[in-house]
Amino acid sequence: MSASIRRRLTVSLLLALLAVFAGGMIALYVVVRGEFIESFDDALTAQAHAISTLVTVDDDGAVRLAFSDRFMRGFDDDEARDFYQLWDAQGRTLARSESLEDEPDLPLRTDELKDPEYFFLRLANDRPARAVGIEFEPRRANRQSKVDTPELRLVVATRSERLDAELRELLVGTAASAAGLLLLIALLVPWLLYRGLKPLERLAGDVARVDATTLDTRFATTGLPRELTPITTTLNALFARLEESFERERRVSAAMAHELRTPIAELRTLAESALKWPDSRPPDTDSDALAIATQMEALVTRMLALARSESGQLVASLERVDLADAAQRAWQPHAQFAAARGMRARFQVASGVLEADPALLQSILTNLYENATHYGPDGGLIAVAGGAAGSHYLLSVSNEAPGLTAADVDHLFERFWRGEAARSGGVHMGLGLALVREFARAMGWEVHARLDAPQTLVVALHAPLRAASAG
Amino acid sequence: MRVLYVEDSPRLSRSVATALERSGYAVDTAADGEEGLWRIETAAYDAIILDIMLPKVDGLTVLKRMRAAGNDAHVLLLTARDTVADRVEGLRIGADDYLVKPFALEELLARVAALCRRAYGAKQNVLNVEDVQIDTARRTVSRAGRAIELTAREYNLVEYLARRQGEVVPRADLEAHLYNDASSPTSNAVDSAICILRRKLAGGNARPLIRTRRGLGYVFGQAP
Repeated sequence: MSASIRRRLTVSLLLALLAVFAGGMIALYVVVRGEFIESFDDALTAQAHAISTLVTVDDDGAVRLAFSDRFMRGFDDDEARDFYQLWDAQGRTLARSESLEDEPDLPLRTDELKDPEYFFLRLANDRPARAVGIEFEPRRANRQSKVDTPELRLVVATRSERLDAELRELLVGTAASAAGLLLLIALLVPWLLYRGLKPLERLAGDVARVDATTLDTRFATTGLPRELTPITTTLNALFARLEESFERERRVSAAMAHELRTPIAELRTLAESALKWPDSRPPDTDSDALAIATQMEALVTRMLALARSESGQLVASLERVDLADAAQRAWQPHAQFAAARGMRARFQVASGVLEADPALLQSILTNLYENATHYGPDGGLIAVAGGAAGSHYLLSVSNEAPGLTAADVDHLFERFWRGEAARSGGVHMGLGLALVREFARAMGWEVHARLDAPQTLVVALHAPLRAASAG
Repeated sequence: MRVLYVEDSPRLSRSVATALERSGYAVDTAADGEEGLWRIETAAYDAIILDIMLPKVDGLTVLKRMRAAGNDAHVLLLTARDTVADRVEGLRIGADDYLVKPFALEELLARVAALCRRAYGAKQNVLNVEDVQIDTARRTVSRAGRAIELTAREYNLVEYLARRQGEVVPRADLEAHLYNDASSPTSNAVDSAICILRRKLAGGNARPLIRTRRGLGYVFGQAP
C-alpha cells in the first residue's frame, strides 16, 4: 500500500521547513557574529590609527612616540586591557605598551600589511585578545624636513573576553531559540496537517463504509472544504444512480422470479392434487395445465427474443413499408377483442413510406395494440395517429389509463414491470413494452411513453425519415 | 380450522384452496392485498397464507398493517422471492413461516397444520380428551384404542373442540373456524354436525363426551 498523503506531506513539509529554518538561523548567526566582530574591529582600528598619528620622525631619522598612559588608560600596566607594539621595517621593536610588561612580544605578521589585518591571539595566562596589524609611515616632526619616513609596523591588541562572551551568548541564544522553534515546527506541522486533512479522511471513512446495502448513503455537501464539494456532489449523484439501478435490478429479478415460479407452482399443485386425490380430479385440470404451458411458452419466447435482441443478435432486414397500411393491418386481430369491450378505435395515420422490418414492426404494433386493448377501460377510446414531424415520422398509440401514475410511466419499459390493471390479469408478463423498445432499437427507431391529461397513456414511435421516404 | 389464502394467480389460488378444503380446512381466498386486508379484518383465521407480490397492496404491507392493527393470526408467506434478505424481511415484520414457490403441496399442508396447532399453543401432535385420542399429524381419532372413521369436517370439529377442551365453545366460534364465507352454513349445520360426531364417538359408551350448554355452546371433556 502506498504511503498516505498525510504522512508524505508531513515528512516533506517537515524536512523542507527544518532545512529552510536551520539554514536561516545559521545565516542569521553568521551575520550577527560578523557585525559584532566588525564593530570590535572598528574600535581596534581607531585605536591603531590614533597611535599611528602619535608617531613622528625627527630630522635625524629617529622615530619618536609621543604617547602617554593618561592618553589611553587601557595601555598602562594597571589596567592592562589594551596593548600595542611598534616595529620598524627590519623587525626591531621600537616601542611596547606598559601593559605588555610581563608579556612576550605581540605576534608581528611579517607579510605585507597594506590593509589592516585582524586576528585573534592568546596572551600570557591564556587570556584571549583580538589584534589589528597595520603598516604606516609616521609624520615628520619638522614639516620642512626632507628626511625619509620609514615604514613602521604597529600591532594593537585588546583583550576580548567580553566579545567572546557575547559571541558565546549569541551562539547559545541562537541555537536554543532555533531548537525551540524547530520543536514547535515539528509539533505544529503534523497537527495542522491532521486538522487540515481531517475532512478528507472523514470522507474516505464514510465512503469506505458504503456497500450494496447502504447505497442510500448521501454525504453532506455543506460545511466541507471547497475542494471536496465536487467530490461529494459527484459521489452523491453516483450513489443515487447506483441505488436506482440496484433497486431496478432487484425489482426486475423479483418480478422475473414471480413470473417464472408462479406457473411452475400452479402446475405442481395441479399435479400433486390430482395424485393425492385421484378420485376427485377436477375436470378442468388438463385445460389448466395446457393454459399454464401455453403461458410459459409465451413467456419463454419473449424472454428469448429479449435476450437475443439485447445481445445484438437481432438484425432488422429493412424494406420500404407504408406505416399507414401496417398500422391498419396489425389492428385487425385486435378489433374483435376491442369491440367486445366496447372500445372505439380512431385511426388518423398519414401515409408514410419508410425503411422498416415488417416482422418487427408487426410485433411492435401487436404489443402496443394488446396493451391498449387489455389495459384501457371498457368503452374507452384507442387513438392511433401518425404523420411526419420534422426529420421523423411519429406514430403513436394512445389509450385511457385510469390509475396509471407519472411514476409508473418511468417503469413502463422495464422488464416484468406490470401496472396494477395488468397484475390481476394473469395473461401478461410485463415484457411487451421491453420488447417494443428492443425491436424499435434494432430498426434504428426510438420509442417514448408519456402520460397526457386527462389520464391518457401515449406510446410514440419515432422513425427517422430517410431520403427515399415520402410523406 | 379456517384458513385465508391471498394469491393473485387465479389458477394457483383455486387449486391450493381445493387441496386445503379436501384436507378439512374452511378456506377463503383473496385475489389482492386490499381484499386480503378486508377479509383479515372481518373474520378470525387460524392461519393466513400470504403471497408477497400482490396487486394493490403487496403482501409485506398487508402483514405490517394487520400486525399494526394487533392481529396476531399465524401467517405463512408464500412467495417467488427466495433471497435470504427477502426471508429475513418477511420474518422480521411478523411472518411465522416462509415457503418459496414452487412448493410441494404436502409441505404446504404440513406447515399450515403446524401453524394451526401453534394457534392453540400446542406443540404435540396428540390430543387426549378422557379416553379419546386425536392424532393431529395423521388426522385420526380413536377411542379406547378403537379407531373412529370421521369425515374431514367432522375431524376438524373434534380437533377444534379438543384444542379448547373443558371450555364452553360458542356456536359462532365453530361457524367462524369451520366454515368459509362461501359455504354459508345453515343455522343448524353446527348442531347436526355435533349430533353426528356424538354418535360416532359414543360407540358402546353411553356417557356423552360433548355436552350442550343451552344458549352458550358446547363443552368437550374436562378442563385439563
